[in-house]
Amino acid sequence: MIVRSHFGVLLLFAFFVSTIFAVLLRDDVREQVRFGATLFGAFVLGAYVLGWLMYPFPL
Amino acid sequence: MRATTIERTQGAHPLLVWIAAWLVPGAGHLWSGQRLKGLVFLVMLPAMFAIGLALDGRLFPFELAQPLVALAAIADLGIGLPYLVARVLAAGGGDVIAVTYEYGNTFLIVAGLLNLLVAFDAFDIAAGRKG
Repeated sequence: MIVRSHFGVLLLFAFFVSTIFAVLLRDDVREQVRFGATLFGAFVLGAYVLGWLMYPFPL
Repeated sequence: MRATTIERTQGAHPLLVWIAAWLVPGAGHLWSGQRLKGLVFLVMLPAMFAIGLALDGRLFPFELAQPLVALAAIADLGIGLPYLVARVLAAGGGDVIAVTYEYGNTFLIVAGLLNLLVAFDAFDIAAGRKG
């Protein structure tokens, strides 16, 4: 097993998906970096917010 | 850039480009002369698929009796050649009790779906709809 941390896997997943979408949807390198960073931040922040929203409702 | 792209893919049937792009992630963009994009896809998509396997994800079988499993199998197949290599090597059996099992499945499925998206982008470029 390469990553034991759930948050580590989240970061890894967000990195891959953000990079691929940024390269696919933007042509200019500067725009790709900006879009990729925004997407990555949105992934991580979104996961945090959803995680806390689900906190009162454990399975 | 647009003229170069169209020149490069001229003569190549868009369907042929799609098949190449599906089989080898990034091949369609490399064929169109978009080297940076092609190289990024060539590295990132198989890496994502390999991480999915390393996280004990499962390559789902084509079971039409279970529609969601069949859809996951189609998504897995989306990565192309790496899927076939993994099948030949008997990888992707999945370890359902592993803590990362679902993460592995997510990596495998999303890598396949992203490659299909990339292949359709390459198809559009070859068809002259996109620069």
